[in-house]
Amino acid sequence: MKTGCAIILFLLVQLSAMNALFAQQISVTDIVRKADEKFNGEKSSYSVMSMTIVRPGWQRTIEFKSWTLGKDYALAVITAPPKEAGQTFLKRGSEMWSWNPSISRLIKLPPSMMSQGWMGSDYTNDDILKESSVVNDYTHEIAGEENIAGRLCYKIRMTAKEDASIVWGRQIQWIDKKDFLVLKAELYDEDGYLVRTETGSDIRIMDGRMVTSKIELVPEEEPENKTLIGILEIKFNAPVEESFFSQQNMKRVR
Amino acid sequence: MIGSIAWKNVWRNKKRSLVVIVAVTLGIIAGVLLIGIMEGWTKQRLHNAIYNEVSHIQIHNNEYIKNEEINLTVSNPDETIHSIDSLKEISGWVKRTKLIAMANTPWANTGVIIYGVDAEKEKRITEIYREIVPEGGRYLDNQSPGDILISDKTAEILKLKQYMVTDSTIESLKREKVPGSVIAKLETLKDTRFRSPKDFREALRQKFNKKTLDRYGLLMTDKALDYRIRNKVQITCSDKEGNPVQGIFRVCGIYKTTNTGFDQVAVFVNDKELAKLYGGNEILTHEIAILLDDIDDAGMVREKLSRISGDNSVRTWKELAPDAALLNDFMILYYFIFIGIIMLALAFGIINTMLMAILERTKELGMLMAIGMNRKRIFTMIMLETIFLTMAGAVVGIFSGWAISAALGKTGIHFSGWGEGFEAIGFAARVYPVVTLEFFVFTAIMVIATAIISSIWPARKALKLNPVEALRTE
Amino acid sequence: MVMKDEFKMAWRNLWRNRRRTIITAASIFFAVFFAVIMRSYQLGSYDHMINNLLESFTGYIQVQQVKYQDNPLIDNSFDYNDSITAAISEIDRVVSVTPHLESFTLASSGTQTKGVAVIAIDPVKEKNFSDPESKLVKYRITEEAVRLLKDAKAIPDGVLEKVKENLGRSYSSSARLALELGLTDEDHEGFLPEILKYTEEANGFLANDDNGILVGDRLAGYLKVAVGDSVILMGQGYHGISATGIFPVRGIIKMPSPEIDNKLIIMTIPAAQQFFDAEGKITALVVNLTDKSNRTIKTAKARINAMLPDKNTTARTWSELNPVLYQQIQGDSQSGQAMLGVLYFIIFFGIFGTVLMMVSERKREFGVLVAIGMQKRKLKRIVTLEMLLLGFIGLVCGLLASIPLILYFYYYPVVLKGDLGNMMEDWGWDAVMPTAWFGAYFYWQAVIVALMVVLATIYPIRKIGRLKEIEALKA
Repeated sequence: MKTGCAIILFLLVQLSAMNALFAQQISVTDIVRKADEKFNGEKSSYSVMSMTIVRPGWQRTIEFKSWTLGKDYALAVITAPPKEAGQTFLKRGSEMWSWNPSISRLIKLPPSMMSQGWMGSDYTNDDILKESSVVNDYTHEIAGEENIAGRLCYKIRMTAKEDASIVWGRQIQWIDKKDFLVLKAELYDEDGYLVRTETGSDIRIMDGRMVTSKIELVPEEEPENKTLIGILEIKFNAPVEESFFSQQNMKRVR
Repeated sequence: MIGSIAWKNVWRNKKRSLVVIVAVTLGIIAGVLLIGIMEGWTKQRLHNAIYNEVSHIQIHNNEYIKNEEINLTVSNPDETIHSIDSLKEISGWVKRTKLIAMANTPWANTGVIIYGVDAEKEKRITEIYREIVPEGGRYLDNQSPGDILISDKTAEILKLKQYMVTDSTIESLKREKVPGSVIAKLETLKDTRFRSPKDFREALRQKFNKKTLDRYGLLMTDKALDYRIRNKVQITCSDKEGNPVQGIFRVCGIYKTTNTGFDQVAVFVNDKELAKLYGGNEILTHEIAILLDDIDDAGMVREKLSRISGDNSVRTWKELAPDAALLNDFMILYYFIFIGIIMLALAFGIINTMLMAILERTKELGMLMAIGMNRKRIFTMIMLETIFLTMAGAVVGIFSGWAISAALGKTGIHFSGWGEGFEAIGFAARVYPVVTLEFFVFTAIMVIATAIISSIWPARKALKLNPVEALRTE
Repeated sequence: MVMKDEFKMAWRNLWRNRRRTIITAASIFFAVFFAVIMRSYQLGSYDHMINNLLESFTGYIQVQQVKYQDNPLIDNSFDYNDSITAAISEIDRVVSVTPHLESFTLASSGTQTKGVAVIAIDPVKEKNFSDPESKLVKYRITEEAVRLLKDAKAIPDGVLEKVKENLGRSYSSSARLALELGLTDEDHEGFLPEILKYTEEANGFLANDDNGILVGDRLAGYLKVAVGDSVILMGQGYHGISATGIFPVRGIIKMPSPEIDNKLIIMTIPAAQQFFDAEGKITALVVNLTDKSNRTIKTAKARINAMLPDKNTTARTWSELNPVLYQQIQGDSQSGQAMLGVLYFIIFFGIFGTVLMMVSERKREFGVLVAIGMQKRKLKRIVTLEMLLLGFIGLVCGLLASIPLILYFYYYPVVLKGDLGNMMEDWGWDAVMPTAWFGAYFYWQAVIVALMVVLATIYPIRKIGRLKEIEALKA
């Protein structure tokens, strides 16, 4: 599912001990691009994640596994809770499908359904469908350095380009200087008002890389609402074929 | 001869005659105005329905009516256009792309119907370009393809209708002579942005008491209004294969019609730009809207077009906007009943007055009969008197009524929101009374008929007078 | 006694000149008669339309979760409480209490998918409200039906043409079908049964615990389903949980409004609660009252609010739920009052005209009375009494005369024909314009006309005051 990809995007922007050496000598756009290329450079990934939706009065957690191949292919299957388990989501290019075992039906998701948060979360259709490029759709400039949770970060101001197909006006990202982890991102509308804040935390090494294993998304207008992503397991570049991302496989995958 | 006697009689008793004449006059003026207002109102709704929403005739693919899918375009558009052009009753037509889509801003999203149009051609068929709100930007422009035109309601839903107290707000309020104390309190809200009317009203309610709000609330909201023109709106719709596609448009203007239902979903963009989104070099046509020179030709033109329409359905405004059509029918019913009762009441009033008059003139009538005036003449005389009386009132009434409604027809009558003050959802509506020639003729005929009928009984009563007895009366 | 004396004189004056008295009284009679009839008609017809609207659409009052009005999402539902519902039904003037669970979801059948509105009802209770059962499609003119009719040669060609013209239409009742086909009475007898036979369509309603659904006619056409097929519903349920399920179609229902008709799904509340994972929850309790007067609604609302267990739910009146409708009604009602105003104007002049004449005629009489010594004040009093008596007689007679008319048109109202009538029938309302039952308006008209009489009396009083006996005697 794209959310899986979005999440992976965040993760992979953060990793790479390898590029730390080049940090000082490269331009802002390069920082962002390098981080982004990290992601695109990864051929594939497999991850196990949990998503907790927090609302005033209740909260709900689902767990899912997801596979991605490049930018165009993703497959996710819900593993918990039992009522939701077995549902799978497939993305092939711009097509999106969902499979529900309890009714044995494969459905192509129509645009009108995109407006709902995925699985009730705060991730909107923009995150799910469109892979806006952090590199190409924004212009970047360094706005200073700040300390987030004890780590020194570049504060990078990103302004949406005029013709970019994104609904945001601006983003500010705090990228850790040492490991290139995005520890915080703020998304603004065109009038300069904060709409959403995303924070990464609980840094640890997974499959040999430094990642933030917890990501929290908080909409500004409703601070009591949150979506929390936890990465339980992740593997990079494990071999997976394009044929894996098929409708038949949606029904089989566990 | 009888005529001139009757006429002189009318003016002999000025007071009585004046009473009847004034009654008839004022009654007619009031009636005319009232009907004018209702007619004006109905006509406005009809006009708006046709010139903002449905035009006179629309053509769609038969299947499209049941389900608005992107591939259900008008079949054989070129042939259809050709036939349309061949008809002389046509005033103009446009082609439109019409898709179901989602509109998105960072704060909200909503379902919309997105129309892909040619701005210039569209202006000849609809009047939406005239319905741009004050401070609401401008209509679409073919030179500016990335624009999107949305309604005030859509702007509100997408949180693009915002409120902010700025220096210029304060300035304009000062110009409107709003008291300093009120302005001072308002300044505490300066430069805070409110993303919806509700939020702003809530903030105002916390600062001011009800009385102040009733008096200045609307004014303050008006001046603090800030439509976010040039902000981005993201549109998600289906391409020809049914896959979701997205594109960004910038708000160029805000429009508002009297039909919120229509407003809420209708957004307009450049047709070529929309085609880029759903994958095309080819602009798809889902709707052809036609304007006629004469609305009454709609049925006939529909017949002609239906014959060659094939898979398409041709519908008139009556089917497309049934509520406007029904309103029309309902109004006619209303008129008849209303006028019927008024005329009846008028008739009785006249009869009564005339009867009294006859009673009063018993002696005079007796005298006339005694000196030889025959019954028929007396009957005619009384009848003519009644008719002259009524008509005198009617003539003055009709002319005054016409003059007043013509004057009001230009300036319009201002009906402020029926709700109280600040909470008013019903914003000021302006009705332009319309009184047609047919109506005047109809009224005149009704009044004459009433006069004639009313005169019969008094005239007969006059005949029954016994001249001898009459002369003996005190 | 002085007063008694004057009273006697006034009375005798009246009967001295019968004709004059009758004519004057008649003007008052007609005044009040017309005023009452017109107002009765206005109120009656208007009420009729509004009541129909309220009773089948919004209800008079709805109990909802506090946030539901601003955000009609299933997350803003509340717990259904049997005892509270029963208690509310017991409140004075409450006619019915109907639970609803409403939300949006996706419907899918074959390759078609579409957003739909789910309205979950209690099949039994809903009869008192929107009564979906009466809108079930029972007959449909399909190509097959036409073909069979033609082959069976059961009906003459003329009638067959009429049937063909309405190809594709569906009907909830045989009466409606006959009406739309424009069948004459003889066609009706001879051929209607045949037509019905071939156009009849299987249909059923929902049982109490049914897990099936009713589908809007146009929606069914789009999804290409008929009774017996299944529809998949999927979307988000309570707290964002995925809601999916397969539902058998029990019946097709035809809603008059096309926009509703092409996205309506009706199911039972238990079925919806299970689907949306909203156990025990509903989104609204729709309450119908005996009338929509302010007093009734206000009291009922207060009583209901007192019964609700917590601040989570609240009772909302129809004007709060639908302020636009409310203001439209206000506006229309005001135009009705304006019309009444015009009527008042005219009838006042009717009265005034006769009074004017009366004074004119009696000028001499007044002159004589004053000349022989009667005090002007006394004369004024007598004349006033005369007017009041006349007024009284006219009013009472007028009111009495209006009663039979009101009664008649209340029980046998004028029937609306044409498109307007059809539309109302479609919605399941009687297409009639009834008069209103007796109420405050009845007496108010009398009061207003009485005021007119008083106003008109001012003229003779002043005339008497300014009377110059010599001139009067010369009249």
